[in-house]
Order: sequence, then structure tokens, then C-alpha cells
Amino acid sequence: MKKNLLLSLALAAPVAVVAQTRPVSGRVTAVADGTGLPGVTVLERGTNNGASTDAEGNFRLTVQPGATLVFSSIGFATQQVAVGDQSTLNIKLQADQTLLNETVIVGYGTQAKADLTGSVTQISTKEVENVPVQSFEQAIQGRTPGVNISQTSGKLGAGLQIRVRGSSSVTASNQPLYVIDGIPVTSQDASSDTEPLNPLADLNPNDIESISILKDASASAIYGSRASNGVILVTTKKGRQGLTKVNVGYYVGTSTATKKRKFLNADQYKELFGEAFNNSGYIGPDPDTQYPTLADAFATEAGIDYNSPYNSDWVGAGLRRGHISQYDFNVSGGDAKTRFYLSANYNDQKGIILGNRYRRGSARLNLDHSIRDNVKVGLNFSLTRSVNDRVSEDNAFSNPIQLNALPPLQAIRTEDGKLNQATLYYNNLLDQENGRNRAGNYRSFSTAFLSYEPVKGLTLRTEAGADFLNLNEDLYRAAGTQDGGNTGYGYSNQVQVVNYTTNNTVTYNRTVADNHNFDALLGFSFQRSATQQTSAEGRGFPNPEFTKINSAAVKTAGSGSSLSEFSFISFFGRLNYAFKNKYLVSGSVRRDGSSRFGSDNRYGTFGAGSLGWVVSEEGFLQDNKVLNFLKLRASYGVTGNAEIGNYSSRSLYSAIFYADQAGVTPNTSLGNPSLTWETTTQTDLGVEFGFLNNRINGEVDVYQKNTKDLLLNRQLPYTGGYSVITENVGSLRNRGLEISLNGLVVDKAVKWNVGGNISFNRNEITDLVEPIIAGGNTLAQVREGEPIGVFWGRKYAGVDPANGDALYYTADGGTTNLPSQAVQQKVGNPNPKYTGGVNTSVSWKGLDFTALGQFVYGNDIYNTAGVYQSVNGDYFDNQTVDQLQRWQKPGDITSVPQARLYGANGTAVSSRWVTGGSFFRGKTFTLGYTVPAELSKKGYLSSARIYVSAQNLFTITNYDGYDPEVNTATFGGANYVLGHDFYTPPLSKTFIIGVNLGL
Amino acid sequence: MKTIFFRSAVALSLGLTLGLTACEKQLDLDPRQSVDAATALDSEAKVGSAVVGLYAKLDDPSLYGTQLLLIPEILGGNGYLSWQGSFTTYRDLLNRTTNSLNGLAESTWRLAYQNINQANLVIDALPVVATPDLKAQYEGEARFIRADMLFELVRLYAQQYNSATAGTELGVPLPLAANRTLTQADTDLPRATVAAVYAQVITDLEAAIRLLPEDNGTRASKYTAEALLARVYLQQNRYALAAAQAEDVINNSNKALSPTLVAVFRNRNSSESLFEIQQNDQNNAGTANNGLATLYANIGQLGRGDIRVLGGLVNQYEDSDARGTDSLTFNFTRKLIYVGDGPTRGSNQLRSGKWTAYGQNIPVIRLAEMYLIRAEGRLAAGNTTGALDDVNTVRERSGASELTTISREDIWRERQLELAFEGFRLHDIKRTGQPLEYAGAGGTVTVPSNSPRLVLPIPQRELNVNPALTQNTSY
Repeated sequence: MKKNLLLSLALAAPVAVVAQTRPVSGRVTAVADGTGLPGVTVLERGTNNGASTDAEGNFRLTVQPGATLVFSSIGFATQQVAVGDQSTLNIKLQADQTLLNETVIVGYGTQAKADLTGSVTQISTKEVENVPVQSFEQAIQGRTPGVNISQTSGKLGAGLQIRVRGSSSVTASNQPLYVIDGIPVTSQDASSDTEPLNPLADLNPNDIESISILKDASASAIYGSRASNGVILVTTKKGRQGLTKVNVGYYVGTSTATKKRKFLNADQYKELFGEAFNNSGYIGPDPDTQYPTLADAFATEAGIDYNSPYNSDWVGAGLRRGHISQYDFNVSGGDAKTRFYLSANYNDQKGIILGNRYRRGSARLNLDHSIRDNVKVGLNFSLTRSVNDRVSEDNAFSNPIQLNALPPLQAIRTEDGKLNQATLYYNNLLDQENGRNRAGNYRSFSTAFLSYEPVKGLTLRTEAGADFLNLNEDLYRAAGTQDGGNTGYGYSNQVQVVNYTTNNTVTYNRTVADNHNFDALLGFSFQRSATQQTSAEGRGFPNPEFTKINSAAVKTAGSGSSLSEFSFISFFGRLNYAFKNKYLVSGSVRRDGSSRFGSDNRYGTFGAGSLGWVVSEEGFLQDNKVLNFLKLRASYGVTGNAEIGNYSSRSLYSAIFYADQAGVTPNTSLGNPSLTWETTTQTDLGVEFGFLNNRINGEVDVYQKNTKDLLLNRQLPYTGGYSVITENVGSLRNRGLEISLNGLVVDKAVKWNVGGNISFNRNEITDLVEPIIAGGNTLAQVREGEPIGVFWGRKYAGVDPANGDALYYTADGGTTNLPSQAVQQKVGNPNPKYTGGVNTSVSWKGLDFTALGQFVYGNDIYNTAGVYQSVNGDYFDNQTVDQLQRWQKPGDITSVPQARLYGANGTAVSSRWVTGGSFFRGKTFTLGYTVPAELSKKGYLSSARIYVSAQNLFTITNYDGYDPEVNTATFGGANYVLGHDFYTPPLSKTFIIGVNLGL
Repeated sequence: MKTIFFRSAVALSLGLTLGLTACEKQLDLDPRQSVDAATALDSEAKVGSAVVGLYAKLDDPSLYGTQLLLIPEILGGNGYLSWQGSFTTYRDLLNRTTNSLNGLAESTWRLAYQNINQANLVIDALPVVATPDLKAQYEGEARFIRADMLFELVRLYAQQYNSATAGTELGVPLPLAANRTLTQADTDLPRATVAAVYAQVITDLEAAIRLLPEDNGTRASKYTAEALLARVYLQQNRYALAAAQAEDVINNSNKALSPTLVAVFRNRNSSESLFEIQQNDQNNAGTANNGLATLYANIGQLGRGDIRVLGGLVNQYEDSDARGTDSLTFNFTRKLIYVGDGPTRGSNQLRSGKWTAYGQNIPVIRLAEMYLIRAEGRLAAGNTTGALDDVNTVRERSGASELTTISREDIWRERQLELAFEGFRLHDIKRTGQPLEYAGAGGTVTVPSNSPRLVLPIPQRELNVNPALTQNTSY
């Protein structure tokens, strides 16, 4: 019954209206404390005639005779009441911690949580509203069992790494498919920088009503060839019939770095490097090869004044106190014919990294209208303008974090107040004064739909959606900066991504003989996306006042235009069957064709089946006082991953230039006409339970995901003229366990809720033709029998106490001071053993407090910059303070080798810079106070709440770098170069104070 | 009720079918920035584009754009230069402490073989070139570039050619077929012997000399091929053969020494240029992490100043020699070695004035080298006067004093003075057998010329995928 109702709600199918309506009014209160409940949805069953309660819980509605009203509110058990002859209804709602009656958004529809046979994590608006972040994914870290979300850098708007039940690909994308209001959106970085921007930051988190993460095959297979990495469905807010609600919000705050790495001060620098010079024999009487004094040596070898009075804090010079503020305004409401939600939001974040600032202004209108009782039309329209003042990539001298390499003996500014240009490396503060690096973006996510319900239960729906992304990058470096050279440098890049989709579905929902509920879906979908880019690059500006490429004497090689496209044609269907809401069966199938796949393999079929058993509906449990809900479910299915680049199946020739002539050359990747999607088969077993009237509830899932036909770039011998071929070879496996638990510990005037989740995932590459070596200074590899991105290299064996040489392990377990004789072996694992979060909330009268902690345990981090900054004075880069523990005399036991300038003593890429990356983070703490209704009324407000909130308040970790939540994107290989730190900026610790007013 | 249901179903299925047929061809999306390999070389004009592509590849930073001219200066460059940059790849080469993961060793190997395959593809596509002159020219150019790449590879990745051992000493793989398919491209080629590689290089160059026009603009001509063959013979220490090729170039190529050496590096395609990589401000080997000017130059904000010129070289120039230094900065100097004035390097450090602009052309073979090759040939044949003439021709141009006596060592030293920073240092050490000697922190360091550490490692990545390969000793 319940299900039937919720489905009709979701499909918004009105029944014929027949005369004689009558008014009903009343008040909704909480069972626990009798207070009025605001915002409860009151709906006439089987219609979309409804209202919501005001600040004191009152409602008023006009209904048909014989109507049944449905009262629902998140966090409370839904209640149905037949109106009968009553004109006043006083309803008491019971707190419902499991949210089992919650409607869950699934692919192309909705389902009641209790009837769901797939594994879905749903997160509500509460979790993402008014959190001082750029994108909603940052706000749900620690709240998503089975979904590991990590920020890779503290740069504002930077790309995130999201893994739904582990990495299921090595070379294709591992990021989930994002669907906003039914439309798959562009979630790949469109910018030209090495480091990705997150295109989802364009969505105002305050506009989100719910986020559903489809994790197992049963839930996701309806998205076929793009479902292997999970699917994130985002639904935006809608208006509801009833009083018009106006909300105004504002917050303001400041931020600082969570953590800074510690470097030598001037005296320590002189001590260590003086020793390094001496140990390398540079100080002495021989005029040909030696210097008479350290001062001479410092001056000549590195241009450093040994007797400098300065003790510069270069680490601090690249960071600053950030500032954040947000203005938010929304209105929602409507009547029986038309509902609307209208919002405007402006968010301004000045980052903790010098030069970093993110601003976003957005507006949204979600409108739906009933043309007739059974015909509805609607439009969701949004427009966002975001401006990101970006920071150079990690591996650029102009990255402000790289300032930490500069010797403290060198001044930041010279006596005359100008920036010191005579520094060991580029003093990139010059970039801040003489340039800009701005990514401006216009984004629109829009959907229009028309639905028609010719007979009750049957709905035809057609929707068309478009996602327009228009990115404008503008980079200017004046003469005198490093990139600007002697004449200035400018780069401008316009990217336009036009991505449109049409979905056409038929759904049919019917209950036969009260016991058999059928819910069927059939559909067709087409998507096409085109990315066009036009860029211009120039050098030679008259002076720094000219900043556009029109004024550049030379237009250089970065100028050009390009176009890249892909398309998908899909058919899909699903059938859900429930017997007495007790036995549940579901099956789905999808057939996908894509332009990306080789001509020999254009179409693929995917699907899943699942079973559920609501044990608590059985007679033997029905009256159990302790266990009030128990559901077992199992699913099995096949999904694909199609993120392989648009033309990987083809052998191609591209243009190449020789001064002013254009030639052609074969691409280094060889084509493969049978190239196709990766296939993941996933098995999931789950149990959901509720004890003590759902005061304690939870969910446990175990899964195994086997991925085969991995789209791997198989390395070819260079001698054949090509570097790689993309093939469907190799396989990997993810196995895991997810547990989430919630408990309402105290349910009196004080309410105290405690929850938590923990996820274990084990990734193993089960079949791989040959290891993939990321190379460079990284340790990342992909090897058979090991988890993805395993750290593989020399194992550092510490220091020879006799002579201070760095030692490495050899194949026979001995040690050597020759890196070339060391054996390559496993030296770490960037994948955590487990991740999760804990949360608690306490409320008492108007006061509310919530806290969220996030943890990651058992992963390793490789500090790729160690070879420069923690290398016992091998070169003049300022060293981390731990390098003071260097070996000095025979017998010293330490892990830091003897300081030898240019001595390459311990400089080889090795486990020397691998450390544990586990951390526990106090993620979000919020304390709020809601002014009593009587008081806010006096100020003509329906509600008023003020709050203070802290983000990333503390971080407990053994990692000695900046922030343990790190993964530089500067080396590419995003899927397997994991846990690498390279001058990567830390996250920020943010404090805000805010107010929300309801009018 | 039934009818409505039925009608809707019909309408829907009709809509789906129509939508389908319209959409089906939407799955055929061709790339717009590239063309399919199947049709890329099927006409005369397209083959012509691929030949331009061969030259363009030579400008890659892994080839002449940077590494083919820089690696031989760094490896074996001790005493003449120091590496001040942050790239450990070069530093490890200078210290001879590198290993098989060195990125430079990998990328040079990769690009050279890419270009060899492209040359093979061009040769294979020649039947579609109808114009006989063009067909000969294209084949000549492809074989010239293939020979050049093989020669560079065998010099860097194998021991010096020695007629006694070349027949057994491992050289580099010799791919001579055009690879298009996976089976072709995935062949595990073993290393051919040094002798076999040189034989192929000589065969290709002899063919190129036959096929190429005497004048081919800025591209390879008959005389370019002869000049390269002279260099190849010299590397084998076959002096008479080398001198004969050099002689023909000097006498018949219509090339003449430029009035000043600096002009060769400031202007494009000077009168002495036999082969020059064409660059401009748009298309060059790099301005940030790659490119000869990027790494050598230290002029204000131009260049990183990673390579410092040391007294070991500079002190060998006479004061009057324009190839030396007058200790002035770039904007004031009249010599080829200047004092850097970039803000990030110490003052009073010397830099080479040969590489000073990102978009400058890169001379690869120039006439002065031919004089010095002929001089060695003449000296070996007992023609002292002729040898003196050749060396003095080169010296006089730069204001160095005239030599009156001459030895092999004098010519070798002259090559170091004249051809400094043009990629000759390592190859000359190996060829002449003179040990590398320089003052290290703990006294004089002597490295024998046949040290396995003066040979690049076969890239580890290549060993991993091709079991037929053998690593060089010491790696």
C-alpha cells in the first residue's frame, strides 16, 4: 500500500477531480515533546494536492470527499489519516530514525526505501546546505559508506577523487556517472591546466534536495555501460503546494591551513649546508676545486649570502588567512496547478593559498505545472557564473607552495620593498603582483519534461535536458615573471561543452489483488556531447598594462581550435515485483551503443537481478518488541565502463609542425577496431535492520566486484614505432564490507543521536599483461596481485652507522649504498584499509549541535618532493627540519644520511619518503540556535536560526607533511598515481558564523 | 481505457522507432583533429606531408630539439660544464650515476624509433608518388632520416664502433619494415650488432646521396647526406672515407664558412649550414622545461640557466678567440660565451652563447665540422700542410692564432673549441679513446673512454616489454 502511494506521488499522477471539495486544517506535532513540526508535507493521497505546515506545525488544505491525507517529513514516520467527516486534524508524528519510509531516488524513478533491493546511499539537503565548501561532494565526506571521497588538494574548486566501492578501472575513468535531474552531466574536467577543475562545483549545493549514490549492480545497471563506477543521482529542490516559503541565509568566516610542513630556519640552514659543503670537500686550500670559506662557497655555488641577516618564512609567504561568505535566497511554493522553487546564491571564497579565490553566483527556477489532471509539464533551469582565480599546478615554480624550497637566508623583499628576484628558485610572489590565472565559467543545467498518465498507473514521460558548460580561461604573466619572460605571456582558452540528452520512458505501476505489486519501466535514451575549444597564446607585450593577446607581438603554439564528440543510444527496462511487501524481486536491462566503441563492437547489453525478503513482515517477527525491521537482499548484475576517450579505437594521424610547414605523423597509440567497454560483474548481499522502534538501525553490505576486459593501454616496444595500444585485457577485483549504524540514544526533550559508518575495500589487480609504471619520480605502479597504484621501488634501509651512506635493500636481503643495485619491491599501498565517519547530533529546545568526524586508515603517502626537500642537503632547496637528524660521526644511528652537497647520498627514488597517511579529522562541527517562534514572529519572521560552524577543525595524523588528504594531479595517471604529495597545498580549516531567516 | 492505452503504446513505439533510425548514424562520429591511418598516406600530397612530419619529429625535445645535442654534452661534460638545474635526469648523467629508469634515455629511444617507423611508412607508401623526382627525393629524405636516427641511437646506447669487435658487440634494434598493425608493431626485435647498424646507416646514406637533389632548400640535400656520412665514417675512425665525403661537401656544396661563428646561431640557415632544424617562435622544442635555449640561456628572464660553462673549457680559448669569453653579459658581449644575468642564478657564471632564443634554428651539421673531419683525414694520410690549412681556416674565422704544427690531439682540441655545446663531446671521447679527466672534489677523476657508464642504459620500460633485449653492462 505504502509503496503504491509513494509511487503515485513520485509519478505525480493526479486522478480525475470530481466536484465538492471541503477544507481541512490542523496541527502536526512531534510525539516526543509535543512541539509543532514545521515543514511537514501534507498530501492528499493519490493526488498532488498538498500543503506544508508552518513554523508552528499548522496546515490548511482543501480536499475531495473521502480523501486520505499523508503526513511526511524527513526524520519522521509517514502517517496516513482518512479525513472522513473531520475538518480539524491533530496529528502526532513519531520520529523515525531509519527513514525506511523515505522515498529513494533511483535511476529513472523513485522507490520506497523499504522495498529497495539494491544498495543505495541517499543523502538529504541538510547535509550539504551551508557548508563552506565549493562542491557538494566535499560536504558529504565521511557520510557515505562504500564511497570514498577525497580531496586531492586545498586548491579551491579542484577536482576530487571519488571511488564507489573501489577503483574498477586502471586507465579508463574511475569517477562515477553524475546525473542531475535525470540528465547525465559533464563531470570531466574541461580546463587546459594539468590539474583538473571540478565541473560539479557549478551546482549550488543549497539547491540540492537529495543525492542518491547507486552502488550495486541492481541499482546502477539501468545506466548500463557507464555504471561500473557507481552513479550519483542529484535531484534539485521543487516547490510544494502550500504557503509560500521564503528563506534568506548568510554566513561569513575565515580559514587557515590545516597544517604546514616545517622547514629549516636560517641558522639551521647554515648549519646543515655548511656541513654539506665540508663533507663534499668544497672547503679547503685548493683554488681549483675548493673555496676558502663557506661564505665564498654559498655565494658562488648558489648565490646565497652566508652572512645574510634574513630569516625568511617562505612557507608562510605562500599561504594566507582565507575569507568566505555566502548569500542565499530562495522562495518556494505553489498551488494545485503550478509549483515553483526559485533560488539565488552568491558564494565568495578567498583561499588560503596566495592568489586563490573562488566566486560563484547562481540562480535556479524549478517549475512544474499541471496542464490537466493527467498531463504535467515542467522545467528546471539554472544558470551559474563561477570565477576561479587559480593557482599554478603543483609542479610549477610558480606554485606558491614551492616557495618552501627557497633558502631562509634569502630575503622575500629587498630593502626597497620590492620582491627579491635574486632567489635560488623563482620568487613566484611576482606572479601575484604581475599576472592572473582565471577560469571563468558559465554553466546551465536544464531539463524540461512532459508527462502524461492516460490511465491510472501508466505514465508516459519524455524529457530533454541540456548541460551547457562555457569555460573561459585567461592567463597573463607580465614581463619579469618566470612565464612572462622578458616580454610577457598571455593565454586565453574558450571551451564549450554542449551535452544534451533525451529520455523517453513508460512506467506502469499496478497492484493486483492487494498483494502483488508490479512496477515496470521501459525507455529509450539518446545523448550527444560535443566539446569545442578555441585558444590563443601570445608573447611580446608592449608593457604590463597590456594583458590581452591582441597586444601580443607573437601568437605562439598554444593557439588553436579543436572539437571532440561522443554519443550514446540506449534502450532500457526494469521490472520490480513485490508480494505483500515481503518478497521483492527486481530485474533491469540496458542496451548501449556508443561512438566510442570500435566498429566491430558497437553495442553491449547490461543488466542485473535482485531479490529481497522483508523478514520482519513475516508472522514470527511481526510483534517482536526488539527487532522491528529486518530485510535481507541480494543482487547480481553486469555493468560497463565506457570512459575511454572518444577515439581510442582508431589508428590516427595528426598534424605536426616544422617551423612554418605542417606535416603529419602517426599517433603513438595504435588503434583497435574491436575495442569495447569494460565489464564489471557485481554481487552484493545486504541486510537492513531496525531495533527498538527503529531507534537503533543500520545496514550492512558485502560485495564483490569483478572487472574484466580492462581498457588497458598495453605498452608496445618503442622499436615498433608505437607506444601503446588500448585493449580489453586484464582484470581486477574489489571486495568489501560496508557497515552503517545509527542510534537515537536519548529521545526526550534532549535528543541525542549517534551514527557512524565504516567501509573496507580490498582492491587487487588479478590479471595484467605487464606492470604499468607511472615513472618519473613517482613510486606508483599497477602490478598483478597487488592493489592499484601500489608503491613499488627501492626499499630504503637507513644509514650505514660507519660512514653515513644511505643504504637500500638488495634482492638477497642485504644492503647496498648503490641505488642501482637495490631491488625493486613493494614499499607501500596508497589504498586505505578502511574509511568512514562518525557523527552525532544533540538538540535541546532551540539549540542544536552536530559533529562529523571522518577517518581514513592504513594508506601510505609518498612525498614525491622528498627528493628535493628531505634529502640531507644534497642541493640548496631548504630542507625539512627532520634532516637535522643527519649522520655526523661514525656510530651515529639515524635514518638521515650524511649531508653531502651534490653527493647524491640517498637521493634515489625510494621508500625513504613513504609514510603512513592515516588520519582522523574533525570534519564539521555546527552549533545552532533557533529563535522560539513567538520571538521570531515579533520580528515578522516565520523562523530564525543562527549558527557557528567549523570545517576541518582538527586533524590527527602521523603524516609530517602539510595535510594527509593529498594526491597531486600534476603527474597525470589519476587512476593509479595515488597518495603522492608534491608541493600540494593543504586543505583549509574554516570557521563560519551564519544566519537563516524564514519569512 | 483500452483504446487510450493502445494508442499511447502505438505512438510511443512509433516514436522510438523513428528516433532510432535517426539516431543510428549518430554513432559514427569521426575525429576532427586527426585522420584515419587507412587513408593517411594514399596520395602523393599526403606522403609529402608525412615527409614534412619526419623533419618535424627531429625537432622534438627528445631528438635534436634538445636531447640529441645536450645528452652528449652532459654525459662526459665534467670539467667543461656543470648542471645547476633541478632535473635529476641530467644531473645523474653528469655524475654517471643514472639508471635504466632515466627519462631522457627513454624518451630519446622512443622518439628515434617513432621516426624510424615513420620513415619506413613513407618508404612503403612511395608507390603512390607519381612524380619521379619527388619519389626519389622522398625516399632519399626518409632514408637519410632513418640513417641519422640509427646512427644517433647506436652512438648513445652502444659501445664505440671498433672494427675488431663490432661484429659481436650489441648495437640497437634495426626495424626496417613499415608497421601498421598490432602484429607488426609488437615484434620483439633483438639488438643488432654494432657492425650491422653501421652497415645499415651507410647503405641508407649511400642511397640518400644517390636520390637526394643537390639543393633541397632547408631540407636534407645530397650534401647533407654526404656530410652525415663523413661524420659516420669518422666515428668509425675510417679517416680516408670520412675525408673523401667531407672533401666533396667542401668543394661542391656551394657552402662557405659564415664570416663569424656567432652569426650561425643568430641567423637562420647561414651560408655554412648543411643541416639545420627549422624552428620559429610558434613551433620549437620548448620554452619551459625543454629546448636548448631554455636550459642553456640565462639572459634576464629568458632561460633557466641550468648549464654553467666552466673554466676547464673556457681557459682553453685564447683571449683573441671570439668563441671564448670577455666576461660580459649577453647584451654587451662580443664573444660566444657570456656572463648570465638572470635573477635566479649566481652572478659571474658563464653561459654558452650558442643557444639564446627559444625559436632559433638548431644547426645540426655545418661546414666547419667538414673542415675538421678533412683535417683528421689529411693528417692520417700524412698531409700535414693540408690538415693545418683546414684547422687554421676554422681558427682564423674566430680570431684564434694560426697553428704552425699539428697533431691529432690539436684537431681534437679544435673540435672541442669549435663545436662546443653542439653535441660532440661524448662521441669524441669515445672515438678518440682519450679518457675523460677532470678535477673532482677529491682530486683528479679519470674515466676511461670505454667506461660502460658513458653508454646510456636501454630503457627499463623497453626491457620489460621486449624480452629479446639485453641491458648494457653496469645498468
